[in-house]
Amino acid sequence: MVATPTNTNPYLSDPDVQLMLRVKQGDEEAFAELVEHYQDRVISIFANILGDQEAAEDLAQETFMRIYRARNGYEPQAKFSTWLFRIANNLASNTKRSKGRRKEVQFGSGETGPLSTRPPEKNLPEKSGLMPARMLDKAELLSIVRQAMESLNERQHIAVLLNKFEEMSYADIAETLELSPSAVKSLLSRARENMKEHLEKYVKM
Amino acid sequence: MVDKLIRLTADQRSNFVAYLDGELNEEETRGIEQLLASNEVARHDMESLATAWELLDDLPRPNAPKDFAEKTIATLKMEEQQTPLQEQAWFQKATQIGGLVAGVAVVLFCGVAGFLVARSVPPSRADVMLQEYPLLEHFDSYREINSADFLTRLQKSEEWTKRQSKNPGGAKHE
Repeated sequence: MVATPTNTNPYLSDPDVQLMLRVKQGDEEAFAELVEHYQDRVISIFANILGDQEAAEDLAQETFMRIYRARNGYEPQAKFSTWLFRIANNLASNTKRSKGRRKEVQFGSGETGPLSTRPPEKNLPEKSGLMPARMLDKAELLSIVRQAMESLNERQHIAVLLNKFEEMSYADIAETLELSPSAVKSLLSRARENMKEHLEKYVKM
Repeated sequence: MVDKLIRLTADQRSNFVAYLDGELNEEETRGIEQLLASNEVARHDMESLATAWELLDDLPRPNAPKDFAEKTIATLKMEEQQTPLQEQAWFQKATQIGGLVAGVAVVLFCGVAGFLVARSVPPSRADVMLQEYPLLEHFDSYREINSADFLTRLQKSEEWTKRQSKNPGGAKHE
């Protein structure tokens, strides 16, 4: 990492960057503050990517631990949230990849929690009977939305979650995913087109 | 009427999502708004995209357990305690500095030791001969003279003084 002169560093105005600089100085309270500020947000992202809250909590913990372990070499070169979600994205990608390798073993293990993936097509309304979203049972609707999300590729999935849950700008998503803003624009456009097409099969829009 | 139903280009469609996210510049925004005003297909597409986006509001956003931060910090502390000494940051730094100091000490020690050794080794025959060169140069003459007393007496003699005044600096070693 290359140190940026303090007087010209735009990221120093980010309060979370200031907290992280305190963590670098050995302030444990600042670290606890950062964890509390981001824990729900990080867990939400992981839970939606992995479909498993317990695994999401473990990965969120690992994300914060990586942040803490990197404190000594920390230099503010991005918004704190961008850095945090970049780490989270890398962890999620690695976990999904290794999970993919174990997929056959995990199939048929049944539902283990409120976020577990239901068997495909179960609970979904018949294609011929399209209904307005408001008339669908909440669980049915959730199942349809989850399937639409699962139809996205890994990058589209995380980009949509950052866009929806974190309300991140394209520039920030680009920095998090290490892409150009124009690549993010087309990534999100394709993702949302795909979701729309998937949802249109079941929900009257 | 035809205009109202005309199919959208890929570029226009790609700008729809960016429009909904407020990521277009003024000119692009105006372009999309004009399109929406005149094209029914565009309006329907935009509405569908917006509805699909709203449906994501139903995705679960689970909260962390109350003791999440506490547990994370406790795990970190435990990890630090369990980290082998050689992997701990302070130890690595100390090892680096120690290595540097040891390196400098070794260089200094070698220098001093080398100097002392060089001084304590007896000079070789060649060194002695070089050192004594002024003497050796005229060794044969000195051997012929055979006595230093003789030279002292010669220097004090009248004959020597006369010869010196006639030929100053000459025949010094004869």
